[in-house]
Amino acid sequence: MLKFLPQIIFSLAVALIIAPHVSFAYIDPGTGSFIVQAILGVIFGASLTVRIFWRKIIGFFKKVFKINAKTDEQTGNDGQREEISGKL
Amino acid sequence: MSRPETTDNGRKSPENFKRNRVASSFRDPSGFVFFDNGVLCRQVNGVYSANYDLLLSSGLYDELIKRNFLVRHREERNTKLARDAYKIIRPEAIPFISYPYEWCFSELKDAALLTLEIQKIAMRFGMSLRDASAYNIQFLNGRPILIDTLSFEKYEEGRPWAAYGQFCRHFLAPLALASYRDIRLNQLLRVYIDGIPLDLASELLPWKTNLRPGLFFHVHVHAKSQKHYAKKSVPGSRRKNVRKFAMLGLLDSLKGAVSSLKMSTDNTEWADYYDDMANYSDSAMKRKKELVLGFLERTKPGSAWDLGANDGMFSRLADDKGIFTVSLDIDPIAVEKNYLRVREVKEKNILPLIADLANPSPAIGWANEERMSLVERGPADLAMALALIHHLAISNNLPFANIADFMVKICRFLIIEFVPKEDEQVQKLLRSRDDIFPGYKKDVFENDFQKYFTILDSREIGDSKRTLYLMEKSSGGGAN
Repeated sequence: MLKFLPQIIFSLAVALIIAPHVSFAYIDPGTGSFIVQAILGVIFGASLTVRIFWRKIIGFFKKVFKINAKTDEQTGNDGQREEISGKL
Repeated sequence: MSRPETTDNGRKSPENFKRNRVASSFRDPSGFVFFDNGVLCRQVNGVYSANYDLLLSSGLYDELIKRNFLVRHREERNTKLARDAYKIIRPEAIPFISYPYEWCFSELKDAALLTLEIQKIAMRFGMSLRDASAYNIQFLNGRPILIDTLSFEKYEEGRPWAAYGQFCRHFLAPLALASYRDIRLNQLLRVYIDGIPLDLASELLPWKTNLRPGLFFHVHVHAKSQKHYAKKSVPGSRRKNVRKFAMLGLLDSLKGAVSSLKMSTDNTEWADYYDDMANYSDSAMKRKKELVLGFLERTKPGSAWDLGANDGMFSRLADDKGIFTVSLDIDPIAVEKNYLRVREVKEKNILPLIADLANPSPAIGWANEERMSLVERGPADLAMALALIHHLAISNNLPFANIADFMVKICRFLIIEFVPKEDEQVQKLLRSRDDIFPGYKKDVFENDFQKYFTILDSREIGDSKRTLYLMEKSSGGGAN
């Protein structure tokens, strides 16, 4: 049953994104690739956008924490040392 | 480091034609590759002129050259042009043409990543690759490089990447099969000249690859999609429905899928060959290296083939002397080790390739002429056949005369090591078979080879009982 998973997902995607434009006629091995590209492009383009956006969010939070780290420095670097050993 | 432009390696160039079109260069209406008096040239046709000019004017050419991603070329000024020709260009020559079915895992992977990187850069400059064929990539100075200067076209926002299917067949599928099933499946590229069909790859891959998003989408779903639409046509499919960010997402996803593929580390029978070499004492190994170096010094070859090179230990001796060396071995893991070292140390003169000397790459493709056989890409100035003769003569039942006949086709000078029957390695080969080799003797070996070669020198290798010979093709000898 799980063997058909790719097929199921594909059919769903087709139904949602492409189906309205389907027509009929002749043989073309390249068409499948174009269709898949359209579908995957949306999925991966979205995920890439999210990832870039996510990096910006993380970057923003890092800036916020940096301010905190600086205040720790004044009280003796303890905060920084913990951060490094945490990574190890 | 200059490559002689008139070397015969990688060429098919009959002397009686002044201009000779390269046999594989016929599909592309944008231009074709030919030889003009032994020099490699490419004609750019009028239909491609706009894209060619854009390649230069957009800055893409300079960027790719700067990163060593594309072969340089010079424009020919004083040539008579055919009616449909726009320009003649002279690209940088590749010293030895190799094909994806001869590459080890990492060579194919690096070629794949290069293709994706080039496409990404091209898009920044408003261009896009028209195709993503593995045959557009060659190895130069130890790194993959794009040789098809005419592969770029103007990028139109929204248009899908026509090369996507080809990329998946030429690169992703074989890499996935090598990684998840068996390293030897890369040989399918020899059978399927336009890449492994995705439905075949999808069937052969284990079910767990459905759990990897990259392979799930780009191989499995992609294969189903191709099958589904094989009998239909979707008129809107090639119109503008892949936005730029979608394309970048797609490329990024492909990059991730390729990068995450690793070669299984199961050792084949050869991988530790040099590590547990009981048949060479340290002094014998040292002596052998000295002798080989001496022979290389004496012959000063412009190019060399190291036959049965394993991980390239002796190829490196030639590389140190600046000799371009094709390092051939039957074991994909040994070739992989060799290439990883080339990449790590940035060696420029070694090209590691997978080859079975008892069944070397044939000429394939249209009219059996599109891709050259291994022999056609020779001869080399010098060939090294170290610790090899017993594998050919005993494991492959090849008489010495036949071996010599082959050797004389592929080189002028030959450094060959005779491994006597008493040697432990030969005894291992005879353990599971009858000894039907009464003629496997040193004097017979010398006799048979002297019908084709002149023995210039022969030295015992220390305490190993093996003998190293330096031979030269004799003028009267051989089928040449």
